[in-house]
Amino acid sequence: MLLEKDVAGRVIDHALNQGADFAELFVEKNQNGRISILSSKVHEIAGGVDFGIGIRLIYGTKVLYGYTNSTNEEELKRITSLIAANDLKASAGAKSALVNQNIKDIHHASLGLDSDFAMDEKIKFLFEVDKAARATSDKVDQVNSLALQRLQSVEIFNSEGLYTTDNRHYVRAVAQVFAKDGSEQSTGYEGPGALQGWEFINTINAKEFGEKVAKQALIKLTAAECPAGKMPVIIDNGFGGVIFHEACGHLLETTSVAKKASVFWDKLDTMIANECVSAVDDGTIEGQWGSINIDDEGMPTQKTQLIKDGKLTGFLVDKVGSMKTGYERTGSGRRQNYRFAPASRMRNTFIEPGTTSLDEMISTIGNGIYCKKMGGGSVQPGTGEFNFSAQESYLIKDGKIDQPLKSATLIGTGPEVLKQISVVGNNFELAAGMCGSVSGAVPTTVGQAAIKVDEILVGGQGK
Amino acid sequence: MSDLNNTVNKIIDMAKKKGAESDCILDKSNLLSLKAEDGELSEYKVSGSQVVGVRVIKDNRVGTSYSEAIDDQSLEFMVNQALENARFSKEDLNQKISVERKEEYIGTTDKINASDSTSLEDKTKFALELESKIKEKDSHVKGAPYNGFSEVEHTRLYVNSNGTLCQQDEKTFSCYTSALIEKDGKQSMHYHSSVARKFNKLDMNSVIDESFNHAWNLLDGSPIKTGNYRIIFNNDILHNFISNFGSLFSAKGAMNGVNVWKDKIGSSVATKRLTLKDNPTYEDAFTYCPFDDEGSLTRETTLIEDGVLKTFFHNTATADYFKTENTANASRSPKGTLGVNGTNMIISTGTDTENDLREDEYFEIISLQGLGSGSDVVSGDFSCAASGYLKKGDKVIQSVKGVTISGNYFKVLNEISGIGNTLHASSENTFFSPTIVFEGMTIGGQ
Repeated sequence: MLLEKDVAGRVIDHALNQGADFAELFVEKNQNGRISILSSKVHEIAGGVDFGIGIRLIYGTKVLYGYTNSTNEEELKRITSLIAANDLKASAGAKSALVNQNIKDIHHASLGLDSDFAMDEKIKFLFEVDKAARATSDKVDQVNSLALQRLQSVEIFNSEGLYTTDNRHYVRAVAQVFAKDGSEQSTGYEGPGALQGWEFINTINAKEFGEKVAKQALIKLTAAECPAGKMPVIIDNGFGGVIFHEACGHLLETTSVAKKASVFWDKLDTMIANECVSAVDDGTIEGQWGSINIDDEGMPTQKTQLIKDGKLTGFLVDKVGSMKTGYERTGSGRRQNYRFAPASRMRNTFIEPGTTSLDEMISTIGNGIYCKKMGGGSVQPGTGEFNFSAQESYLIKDGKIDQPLKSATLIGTGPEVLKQISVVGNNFELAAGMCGSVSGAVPTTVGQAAIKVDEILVGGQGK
Repeated sequence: MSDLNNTVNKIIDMAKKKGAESDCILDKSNLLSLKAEDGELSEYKVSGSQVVGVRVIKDNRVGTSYSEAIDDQSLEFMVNQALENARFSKEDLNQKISVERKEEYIGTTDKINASDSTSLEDKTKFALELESKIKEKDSHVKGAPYNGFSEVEHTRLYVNSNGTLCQQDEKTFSCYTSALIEKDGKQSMHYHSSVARKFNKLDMNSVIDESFNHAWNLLDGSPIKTGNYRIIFNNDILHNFISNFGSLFSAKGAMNGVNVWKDKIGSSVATKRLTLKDNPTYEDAFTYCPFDDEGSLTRETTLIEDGVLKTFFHNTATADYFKTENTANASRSPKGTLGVNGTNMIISTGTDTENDLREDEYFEIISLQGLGSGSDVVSGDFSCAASGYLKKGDKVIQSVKGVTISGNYFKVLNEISGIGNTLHASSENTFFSPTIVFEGMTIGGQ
C-alpha cells in the first residue's frame, strides 16, 4: 500500500469539510528502467523511482489541484486547505465509506520491471538488434537500440467511496539507425511497445527488427524530393492511424468539446466522415500499449464507438467532461502522472478495417503519394487544423509504386479530411506512440488499415 | 536550505562508503497555476515537489538513478540502483567528477529571484482577465480555450564528491492566452505567451493583442501559390527553427556518432554573414546560468563565426574525448544522464537596414505547426505547416494559412540573403537575432 487508507479517508474528510463537492487522491509510484546500446557498446543504464500524490477537489465544475511527494497526513491536509482557500463553503456532507474495489486485471505481465529477469538477457537482445542492423549494409553508420520499462502503481481514493489500485507494466523496444552514403545521410526508426513485461520483447525477432529499421534508413538515402501541392494519398496501416488521431481523435475529447473549442462539439449524430469510416477508441485490448484496466479516475476502461459509417456516435468523456456536457463517462480520464489533473484522452484509437487490398487501392491512383510510414503530428482543436509527417513515402505513378521520396508533411482540417477518406483497406495494424496534451504525455496506440485520401495538401520541396 | 544540503551530502557519503565518486543534483519547486473558463477559475493548481538524482563513477563505469522520495531508505535504494547500473555499463574513461572548488557558489541574484508580495487575489484577477479581455476584443471571439498564469519558485543544488557546491534560487512568472475567432463559418486561433522574473513585468496587453490580432488577421487567410518565396521568420519562430536543429551543436552527439556535423569543426556550415553565440549570463536575457550541471562556471561561447563552425557545446567528458576546451555547457536533470545544452542564443547583427530587407515581396511567418515531427536532424530536411503574411515593405498583400514550408536546414543556412543591423529579442528573451531573410524554401499551397 502506497498510502494508508485511513490517512486517505481523513484527508478526503478534510476536503469535504472545506466545502468541496468532490475530493480525490491519486497516489502514484513509478519505477523506470532504461538500457541503451550505442556504438555496439552498453551506453547508458539508468532508472529511478517517482512518487507523489495528486489531490483534486471539485467545486461545481471548477477543478482545484495540488500535489506533493509526501505521504504525511498533515502535509496532505495543508495542500488541501491551500487549494481550497478561495472556495471555502459549508460542507455538503460526509463522504461515502472507502470500499476496496478490486479490478479485473486484463493486462497481465510476467516479466515486469519488478521481476528478476536478468539484465544480461535484455542487453543481449539489444546487441542482437545492433548487430542485425549493422550487417544489413556497410552504409549503416550508427545504431542506437534501447529498451524502456516502467511499472506504474496507482491507488485512487475519492469521496464517492472509491478505493482502487492498479499496476501497469509498460515495455518498449526502440531502434534508430543512421545511414550514410557520401554526403547523403538518413535515419530509420521503430519503437514497438506494449502494456506487458519483457515477454513482449521476447516476441520480437531481434534480427528482423534491426534489419527493418536499417532498411528504412537505407531507402531514404536514395529518396527524391517530394512534390508539393494537393494530391491523392494512400496512408498505410499501423502508425498511419496518426491521421485519425490528430484530425479527429483530439477533437472528440470532452476537454475541447466542453469548451466548444472543437469543431465537432455540436456534431453528435451527424455525418462527419465518409461513410466508409468507422472508428473506435478501445482501452480493453489485452496487453496493447494504450490499454488500461481502469482510467486515472478509477473507472473501468471500455470500448467507445466514436464514428459509425461516417456518423459521429460518441465522445471521449472524463468526469469533469461528463459534468459539463452531460455525456456519460467512458473511462477516458488519463494523466501522465500525479502532477497532472486527469483529462479526457485517447487509448487505442483506430479506424476499423474495410475490405480493399493495398494493391487495389494504389492501382486507382494515376499520380499521388504512398505514405508507408508516418511520423508524429499535432492539431489545433478549435480550428481542426492538423499536420503530420510522412517518414517513408513513395511516388505513385500510373497506379504503381515508383521512387522513394524525402520527408513531407501532410496538412488539412479534420472535417475536410474525414470526408476525403474514400476507401479503407483490409491490412489492419496497430502501432504504439506517445500523445501529449493538457494532462501530459500518455501511452496511446494509433491504427488503421491502409486508407485512400482523395485529396490532401502535401508539403515537399519538389515540383 | 540546510535540509537540502544535508540530503545531497548524505547521498555523496553513501556513494563514497561504497567506493564511488559521485555528483548529485537536487531540484525543488513550488508551483502555482491558474486557468480561467467562462469568467471563473477552472483550474487552481498548487504544488511542492522535489527530485534528487545521483551519478556514480566506480571502476570507470558510470551509473545514474533518481528518487522523488528523500527518506533515508529511498536514498539508499537510489544509490544502490546507480551502482548496479554502473556495474553493467561499459568502461567510460571520459566521464569523471573533475570540478573541484572549495568555496560554495551561489548563483542567485535579485534579478532572477526578486521578492514578490503580489496577493493571490491580484494573481487570480490577472488570470481571469487573460480570458475576459480577449473576449471583450470582438463579439466574434468565441473563447480563449488555452489561457493561464503560473508562478514557479525553483531551487537547484549541485554537489560533488570533490566538495564542489553550487546553488541557485529563481522565480519565474508566465502567462499565455489564445483567441479562438469564428466568423462566417471560418475559424482562426492564435496563441501568445510572456515570461518574466517579476509579476508586474508580465505583459498581459501584448499577450492579448498578439493573440487577438493574428487570429483576426488570419481569419481570412488563404494559401498562396506553390513556389519559392523570400522568407522572414518572426523572432519567436526563428528561435524555434534554430533550436529545432540545436542538436547539431552537441559534442555528445558528435562523440556518439549521431551528429552529422561531427567532422565539421573548422568548416563552413553557413553563409559567411552568420555568427552565432551562446551566452549563459547575457545581460538582457531571461535565462541566467552562472554554473553548468557539473558545477563548472559558464562563459560565452562562439559556435559559428563568419559561417565557420568553431566548437560544439561541451561538458568535461566530451572535452576530454575531443581533447578540446570545455565550454561549460554540461546539462543533466536529476532524472537524466550527462549531456550538453545551450542557453541564451545570440545571432550577430549584419549591415542591412529593415527597409532594405523588406523592400521586395516576402512571406513573414508567424506560426509553424509540426516543425518537430516534420524535421529530420540527420538529413536536414524539414516540412511543416505555416501561417503568416505575404508582405511588401510593411504592407500586407495577403494573410496566409493552409500552406506548408519545406527545405533543407543545411542548405538554408547557406541561402541567407540578408541580415539586419538591429538586434531583436524573442518574447521570452532567450533568443536575440536581427531580421534574417532566407531563400531556398518551398511553400506548398495552391
